[in-house]
Amino acid sequence: MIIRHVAARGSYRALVQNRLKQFRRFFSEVTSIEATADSSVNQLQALEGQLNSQTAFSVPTASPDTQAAPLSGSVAEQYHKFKHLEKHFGHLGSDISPHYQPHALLNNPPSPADVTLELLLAAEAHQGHLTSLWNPANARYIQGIRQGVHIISLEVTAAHLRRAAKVVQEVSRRGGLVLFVGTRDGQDRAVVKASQMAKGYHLFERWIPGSITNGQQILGKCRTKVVNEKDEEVPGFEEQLYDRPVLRPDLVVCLNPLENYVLLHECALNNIPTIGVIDTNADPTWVTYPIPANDDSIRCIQVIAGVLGRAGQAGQKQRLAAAQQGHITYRAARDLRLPEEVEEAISPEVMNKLEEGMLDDGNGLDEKLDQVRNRERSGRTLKQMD
Amino acid sequence: MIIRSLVRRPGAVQCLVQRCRATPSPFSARNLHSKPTLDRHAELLQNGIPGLFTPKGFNIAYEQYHQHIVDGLNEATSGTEWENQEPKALVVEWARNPMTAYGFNMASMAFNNHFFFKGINTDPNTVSAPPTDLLPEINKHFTSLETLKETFLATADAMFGPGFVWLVQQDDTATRKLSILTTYLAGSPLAGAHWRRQSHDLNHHNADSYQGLNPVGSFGSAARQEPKLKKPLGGVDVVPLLCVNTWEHVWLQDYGIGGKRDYLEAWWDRIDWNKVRDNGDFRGANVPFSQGVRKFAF
Repeated sequence: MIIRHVAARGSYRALVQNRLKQFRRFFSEVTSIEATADSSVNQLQALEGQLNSQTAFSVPTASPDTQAAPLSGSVAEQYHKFKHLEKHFGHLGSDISPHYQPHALLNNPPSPADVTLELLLAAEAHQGHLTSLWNPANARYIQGIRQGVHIISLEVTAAHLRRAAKVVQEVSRRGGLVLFVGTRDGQDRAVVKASQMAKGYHLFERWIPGSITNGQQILGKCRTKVVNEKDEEVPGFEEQLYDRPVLRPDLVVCLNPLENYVLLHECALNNIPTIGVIDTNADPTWVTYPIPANDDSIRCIQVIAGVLGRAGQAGQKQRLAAAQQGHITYRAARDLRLPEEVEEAISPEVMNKLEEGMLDDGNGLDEKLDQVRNRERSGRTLKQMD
Repeated sequence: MIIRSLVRRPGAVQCLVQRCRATPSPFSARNLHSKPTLDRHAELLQNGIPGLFTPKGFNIAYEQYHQHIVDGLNEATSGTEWENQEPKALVVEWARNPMTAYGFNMASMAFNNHFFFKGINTDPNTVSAPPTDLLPEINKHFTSLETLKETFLATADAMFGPGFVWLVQQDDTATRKLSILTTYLAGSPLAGAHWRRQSHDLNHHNADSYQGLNPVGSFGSAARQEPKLKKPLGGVDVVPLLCVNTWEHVWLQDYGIGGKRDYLEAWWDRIDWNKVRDNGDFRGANVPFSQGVRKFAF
């Protein structure tokens, strides 16, 4: 075995050197991986033949190393390998100029600081409708007419979009509930992504009429939960939650107001501010903060929803950062008593002292707001089960 | 009919006549591909690659040739659904269909040529030598660095005609074997493009020897097939680490007609071995790839 290995190694080298000299002149055949393995195996077998014939004992044969081991097995490993190859080789060959990638608007939307007129133009936010279909209330947003359609002024769009982003950011910073609504085809992914970023709520199917004005009936069976300032759920409030009125959004962002009149009207009846994408044929008075833009272009909707989602994300980050420092940016819910003290039945004044960081203004507005919010409460009473 | 359409590139005859290759046609989209820049590109333009290419030689080998290839790539892709794809993706996509041979050739040459130039150490102050964690692997698979050099350069020298010679690492978990792979003309070592690997010069084969190469129809237990690596769909069987470009235009300017061997020797001294180590996986046998890799954020 040892003799064979040494001889093989030494002879292999000699053979290789010998053959290499021949390669350069006469031997133009070039071997592939398998042929190289084969040729070295052939040399080994030829050597074994020689040794067998010359020595007294028989040399044990070497098994050819063609039994290839399986490739890296697990899916995770293959994925890592794929990522490694993409990193090292994916970009080779040429540089590709920046271009529109549809998934980028959904996976990595622009933030309010990235809003430029070029971005809005590329997203076709300036395209209005035929001049005969316009709503004259939108005259202030229109730049002019081209090819029979109204062209929305992009400076105006950008300004209104930035204002709406500020509203979303501040509502999120104050712990408000933001509802993103987009019920047209193709708006669902943008709406979901925006609500995920802003930690808000989304709706891409039909708005059920009465969800706010008749909310106790329609949404009364939905689960509610109590969270602390760090957004961790606090258990133990189930009995108190059973009694409480149904929740309402603090801000509604509507991406197609033309199809959602009922939603916007309910919000207006209940003093809920709304943001809406207003095309040249839409009514700007339906929403509190209009964004004059093209609601028929999905790319435009993705840009607007993305920007507002990013603004909400920034607001949430500010809220949580303040909570880490111990500063709570919103008023805590009234009439909630800590679970372990329900049995002790302590006085509400002590309860209020425990909820720190409340923003109280002295003119009694908070009580009035509570009354308005709890107006729907009277429809339901707790059945006493003994 | 088939031969004619295989030969004719889109717009080739018109371009030859009118020399309109540089100007895009009025109905096509903008040209998205451009020639990539290398490390210390300004120095390379001025001084060439010291020890390997003169400035004029570098100009021909990279500036002019790669621009020519990128122009061809733009011609093949602009205005089509493929215009935003990277050359590596185009290579894999177009390898199988002979009707897309032109586009494959352009994409494959762009990839291979850029790979070649990226593997060259352009820093004149550093000496190219394999790092210490790479040498044991070379010794394991090639017995020594000198043997690797001799085998590699002899293989490249023996190839008749243009092509590339690659040092590749195979993907079996046990040994992660290093080997030498030749690709003639615009052949590609990438796993998904094995239809156009072109590792053999078919002029050296007759009908009988070609049967050994061509595995079409050989499946089932009766077929005498050597056991191959079981590659999953989309998996990789070889990873390219290093390559040398043996197309004549690369070395003709600086080394002359008979200077191929001198060019290969000069190239060997300018290899960037750190890139070789980074391209491959040299952490040891049977170590899973995901160990030591940070978790990806999704």
